[in-house]
Amino acid sequence: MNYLIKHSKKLLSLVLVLALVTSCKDYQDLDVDPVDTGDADFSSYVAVGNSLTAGYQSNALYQDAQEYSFPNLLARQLQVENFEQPLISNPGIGDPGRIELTNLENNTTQFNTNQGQPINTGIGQPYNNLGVPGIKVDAYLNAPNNNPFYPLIVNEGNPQSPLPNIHAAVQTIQPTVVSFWLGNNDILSYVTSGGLREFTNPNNFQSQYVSSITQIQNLESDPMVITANIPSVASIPFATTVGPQFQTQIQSNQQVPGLVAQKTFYQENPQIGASENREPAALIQASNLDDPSLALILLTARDYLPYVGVSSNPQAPSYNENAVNAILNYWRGYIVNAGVATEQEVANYSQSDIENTLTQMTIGQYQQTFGPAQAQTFAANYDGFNFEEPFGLSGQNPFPNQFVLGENEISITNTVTGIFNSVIASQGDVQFDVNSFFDQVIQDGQYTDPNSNVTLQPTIGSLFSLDGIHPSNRAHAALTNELIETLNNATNGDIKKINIAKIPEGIPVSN
Amino acid sequence: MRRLIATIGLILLCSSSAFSSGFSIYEASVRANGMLGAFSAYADDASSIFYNPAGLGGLEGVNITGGATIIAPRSSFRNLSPLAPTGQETKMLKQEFLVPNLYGSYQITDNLTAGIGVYAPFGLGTKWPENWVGRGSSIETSIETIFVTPSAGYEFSDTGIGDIRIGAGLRIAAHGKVKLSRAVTSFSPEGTFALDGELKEPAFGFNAGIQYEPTDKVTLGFTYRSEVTTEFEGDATFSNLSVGFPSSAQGGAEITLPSSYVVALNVEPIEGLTTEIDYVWWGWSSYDELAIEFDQPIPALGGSTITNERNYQDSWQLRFGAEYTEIPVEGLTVRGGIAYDENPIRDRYVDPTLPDSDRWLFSGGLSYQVTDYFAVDASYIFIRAKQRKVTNTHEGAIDGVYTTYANLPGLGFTLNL
Repeated sequence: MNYLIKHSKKLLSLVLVLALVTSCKDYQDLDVDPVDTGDADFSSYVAVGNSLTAGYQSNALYQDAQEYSFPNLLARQLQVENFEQPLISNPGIGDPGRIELTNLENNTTQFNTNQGQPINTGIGQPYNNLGVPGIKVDAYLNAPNNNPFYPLIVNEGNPQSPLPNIHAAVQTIQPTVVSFWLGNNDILSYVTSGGLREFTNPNNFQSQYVSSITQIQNLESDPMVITANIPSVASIPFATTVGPQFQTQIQSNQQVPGLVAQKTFYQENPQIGASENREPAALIQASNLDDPSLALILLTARDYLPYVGVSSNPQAPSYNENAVNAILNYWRGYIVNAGVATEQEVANYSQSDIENTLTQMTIGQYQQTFGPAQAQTFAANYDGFNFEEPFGLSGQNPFPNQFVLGENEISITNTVTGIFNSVIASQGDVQFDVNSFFDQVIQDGQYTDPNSNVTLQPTIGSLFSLDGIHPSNRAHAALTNELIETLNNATNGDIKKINIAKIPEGIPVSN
Repeated sequence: MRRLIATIGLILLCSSSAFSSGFSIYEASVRANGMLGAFSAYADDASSIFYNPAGLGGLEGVNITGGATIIAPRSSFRNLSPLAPTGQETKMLKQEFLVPNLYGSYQITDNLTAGIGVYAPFGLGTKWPENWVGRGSSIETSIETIFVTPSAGYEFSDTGIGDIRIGAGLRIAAHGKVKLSRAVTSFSPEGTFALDGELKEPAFGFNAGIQYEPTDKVTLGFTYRSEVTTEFEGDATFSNLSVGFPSSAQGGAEITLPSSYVVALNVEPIEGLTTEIDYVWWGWSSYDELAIEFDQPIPALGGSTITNERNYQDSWQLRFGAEYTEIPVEGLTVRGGIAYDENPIRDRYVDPTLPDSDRWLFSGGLSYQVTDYFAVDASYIFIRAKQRKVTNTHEGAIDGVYTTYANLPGLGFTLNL
């Protein structure tokens, strides 16, 4: 018995010791390695920007995408607590709605016109992610009119007393780090409108940009300012996807030698030093449709390209009633937008009414269609309109200008982007060169994540969301990694990167 | 886009539990539980059908033993992924599992005893909140198996070098269920993939063992259990996933349940005290991947199979148990045990379907002889898994820290007729 007691004591102590050893690591403690941010203090981070900062994707701002906005991903890698975002419930807010896949086999999409609601409201402080979709540089110091997102994002954190501008929100937070990524929309709307909407006057851009950065740097919290530049907007899938597709489609079709786009007049533009002349309604050769320096057929052209060659003459072999109606309806909307007639009036317009109205419209009326254009105007076709001519193949029945960026417009886009980027490069404490990053990806034809085996292509559904303009979840992760690389180099930090394979693709689908 | 979508790994069965390495369950008898399963040399009741069928060779008359163990695992996860704030904690939903066992043996001749056992050597489950950060890896996983094992043991006594017993049994996987679900986060809105499968047909394996008793006080034991390849099939459902998925499909998967062997030494150092140490080896490397095959192509997968790498490694357990009969209460036997269990999953492949980790196990147990024929058995096991931090995990998993413990009370009876 003594023997047993002796041994059971040993046994008991062994059990106790082991129990103690194994329970020392308490359940409540989690020893997370602190993030090495080097010389930078990331305790309070605010992201200023547009849709790219907001995490807008597929033509809408919605929660599932906002979760993967690069500022939110960066905040998580930095272990910043309570990085607040103006989350909007799915399917989000967009005009007319979020683009969703309806079929995986042929990649068809549709707009989901349901609208989401703000869900992270009443937090008692401005949001840390102050990305407002659609804004240009001037909106940082001057609240934009008619931007549906602005009041939700800038004021919702403080709904009782609306803030005069985004800077006021930043001032309230007194951040230690600000990322400032504006300027894309100052040129983007020129691209997405086929060169019809204005881009920001480069002189104005410079003064607005510099005064914004100066105000941020003068904050009491003396934040480190990260400025991000503008990637080439002419190389986004919105501008580069459809042309090559159309070219492939018509390659062996002698009836469709290319595309005749609506004529455009350009004025001199001394601000960008470009000599601009009238761009003739010459045929864009089929073989040039995939050359991004000669012609960019925009994503919005997709609905109308199948009608190229269609005549409105019922006797013609190329007659197609649906196509003719679609083309006439396009021009009806165009006339309404120009303020020449009301919707009710154009609804009753005959084909020849539409032809005559378009032929007689003045430059001023055309301008009204897309807003006052400073850098360029365009006028009616000299030859008049005749819808019996083959659609998109004749100067009298041209492919609408709105869907095409011509050679001259492409060169203007690149020049203006270059000017903006040189302004951005001169500002801020750390420069995030998004432009070079995207250039490299487009040159390589893909992006390879060094932390996983994931590769992403500069196409819709991969690096780009369904609108062909805004980055996807995984593209945001790639951007975050690039930004981390930039920050680590600039501040001698060692912020860990994201394994992109772990970021859900989150492609919007229509169920 | 399709190719990318095809990379969505809908996960897989890989099953579950928090009780023993991989998804094995070693709690096959309440009496053995008290000694933490260090029982393959001792094996003195009908549960030797599981622990070492050679033990049948020494059993006299009719022996019936049965019972159940409740397994109550608790796990928590703290996030280290970019999908949520660092350190965000999620608790696994509380579940209790009843693992039954029943064995009977009958002595046919002086030296030959036959028996049959019903027990659950693999299984159990994990269930996480539906909206938790790791939902893309797993929401619910469960696997149940019931094995039936007819066995026989033979004793060679008076060999001149001590007693030798041998035994073998046919391990029949007679019943099995598999259930798993996870969120499909590749789309917005997210959908859910679920598979609810059953064992397609009984699957077979065997076990065999030997016990050698050179003296009254020392027994050596060895048991081998073969692999059992099981095939599951059942309904796959895709909820809230109409683009790229059928509304339902049939899915099937093959799971190879690993082989194992035990080397055991039992010593009776003093009268009434039995001590045993068992080394248990598990051939988990047989579980290298889990492939679910559907009966039709799934457009979103770009094929009809989802393969999930598991790449388990072989693992081992060291089990130590003791039993003491000479305490001053008539008819009472007490037991205790301690064990270390090495888990078979590499860091990279640890995921919330089975947040496995190396673990310590502690046990206590008792039997009370109510009559000459009838005893009541009780046991309690506490399992403490090492906190496990995994980073750089594979595509279907999530980086974070898992903490797991489990309580396993058991109650049973033994009849000796």
